[in-house]
Amino acid sequence: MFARMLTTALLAMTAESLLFSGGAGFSRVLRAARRPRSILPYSLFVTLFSLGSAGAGVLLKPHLAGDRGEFLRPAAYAAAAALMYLAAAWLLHRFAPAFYGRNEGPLALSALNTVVVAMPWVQRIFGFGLSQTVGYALGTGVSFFLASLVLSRAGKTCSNPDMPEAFSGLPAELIYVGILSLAFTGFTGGRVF
Amino acid sequence: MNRDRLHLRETGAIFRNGAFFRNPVLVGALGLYPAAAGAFGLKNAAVLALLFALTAFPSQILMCLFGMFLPKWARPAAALLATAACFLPASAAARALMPRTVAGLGLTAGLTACNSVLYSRAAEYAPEHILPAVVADAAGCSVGFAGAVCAVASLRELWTAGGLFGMGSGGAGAGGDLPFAGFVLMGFLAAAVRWADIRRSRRGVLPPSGRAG
Repeated sequence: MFARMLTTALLAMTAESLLFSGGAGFSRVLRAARRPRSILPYSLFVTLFSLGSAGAGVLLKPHLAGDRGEFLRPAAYAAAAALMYLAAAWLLHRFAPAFYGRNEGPLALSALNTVVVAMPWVQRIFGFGLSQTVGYALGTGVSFFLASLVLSRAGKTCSNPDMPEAFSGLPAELIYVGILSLAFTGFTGGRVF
Repeated sequence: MNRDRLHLRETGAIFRNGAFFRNPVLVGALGLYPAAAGAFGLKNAAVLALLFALTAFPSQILMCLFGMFLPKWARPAAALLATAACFLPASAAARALMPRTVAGLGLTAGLTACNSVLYSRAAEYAPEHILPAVVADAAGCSVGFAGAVCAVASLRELWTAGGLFGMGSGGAGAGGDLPFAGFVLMGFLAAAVRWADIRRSRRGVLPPSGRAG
């Protein structure tokens, strides 16, 4: 069970990475990368909320069967993420206001994003059991951390004054992300999601 | 009369910014996932743009009318609940119009419910602005998002299939439907928007929009 969890975590960081192979979550990765001090709390929150979202997917599965379930699924998963954030924000706001004040931004953006809401779908697509789900959520958190770290270093390069002005900053960062995604495509050879 | 003209001019500027100069995808770096993962054909792009527009207007109007009554810590969750609820009728409309394309998009269509552009405008912009500004912003962002995904999708479809709307007879190469192609194309399109913005600022119209988000 532990070996399966680790294998799935490794897949989440490489061949089946939601970020690099699926293209999800890069809006948040770019924002985290621009504030390097927030990378670690961001990644921890993404990991925790991904675990919660995967759990919500398991709980909602019996209620989202058939055509009606398929129609309601996106709203149900998004609503589950919103309620998880609400619970976390209320608890921190009430019992740890200083911590909440320092991490208010990363908390909201890490809970309410594509990577977290996609967890139940990934679970369905790959038919994950409990240990694999936990492994995938942990691996996604690590993947988010590594992606943010790499892009925070790349930010300086992508703002090089020798670069044509039109490409400086975001345009160069997007091309950089594309090249990284191309490298990960080498693991899979095609579409994963 | 002058006040109405000023009002119209301001909402016009808000629309233009959302559509082009502060395009949420190519300048704000939001909503990258559907453009990278789903916009590899014009039919897909049309569905994504329709889902976006039909979700943006009601969710932003709701948050404009009721967002200020909520405590600040609850607004992000309320914004996501609003977009999730407004996504359902949008999804029904898209399925009625293009059922096969919606089914083919799968995960990408479903994740429109938590699109970062929709969330950002509903949670951060709509509660703090008046209704005409919010409607103009929703319209501008819808046009801007549609323009970005359609431009990316057209280029990718021309590369892989040699034609648009599934009418190609063989393209130049494979791989155009993979996320990396979307990111690279968005980079070049973002550079084109930045170039237009720099030219506008050099002509003395306005300062450059700079990095958003």
